[in-house]
Amino acid sequence: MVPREAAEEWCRTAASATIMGSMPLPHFETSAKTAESVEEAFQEAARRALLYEDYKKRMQPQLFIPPTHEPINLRRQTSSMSTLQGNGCC
Amino acid sequence: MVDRVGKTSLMNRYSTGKFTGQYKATIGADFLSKDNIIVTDGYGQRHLVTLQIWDTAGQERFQSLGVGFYRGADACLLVYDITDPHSLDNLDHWRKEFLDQVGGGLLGLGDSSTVFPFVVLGNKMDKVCVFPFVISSKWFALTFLFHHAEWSLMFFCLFFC
Repeated sequence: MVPREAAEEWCRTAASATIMGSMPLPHFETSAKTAESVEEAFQEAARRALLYEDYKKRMQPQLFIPPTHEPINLRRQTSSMSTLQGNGCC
Repeated sequence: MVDRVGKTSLMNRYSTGKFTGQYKATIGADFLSKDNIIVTDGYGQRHLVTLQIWDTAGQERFQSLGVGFYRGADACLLVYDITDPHSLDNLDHWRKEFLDQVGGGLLGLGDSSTVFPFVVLGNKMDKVCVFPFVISSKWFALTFLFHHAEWSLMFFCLFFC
């Protein structure tokens, strides 16, 4: 017989090796025969899957667009080029 | 998820509501789905989802066929048998095997950064015999009885009513 404490201890240690730290894995004592806690366990898995999906979405690197206060002047470059040519270096 | 812990039975119970006491090893993997599950997310919003439940092989010789199905999973239920302590010890192995396939960690930080949703199930609760508990708690009950008479009365009401 596996005591409940031993299983909960495992849930704690399995979580502590990860970023989850002090949050133990959810633990259910079920019976497929009597249907005890089966519904709850699957429900919890589904709930956590949704949370995880949301977490993954938030953790994805976002494309950084710097704020543009001044518009980039594309003509300036060409005008400076023309003055350079006007000096007649060659 | 060692063999014979009841993964297939759990899946069948959940999605069809039936239980057959027969044992047939799962070869590779098997799947069932359950529609219209209402799940509440982290913001308290309710979602209607369809669960696709993949039942993987527990027997060693069929395991290699099952691992390919781990990829793409959104959550993982780890099942051990309450009457078999060895199955609880084996959860470590199964969890690692799963994370190797899924890669639940953040990029560059590995598995230690994982928040992958695992749920642990101790199955076969129907086989639990209540007598060992009664015997081990006998001494506790007796001392309790003598020291806190009014509490013990409530206790007895809880247990025997």
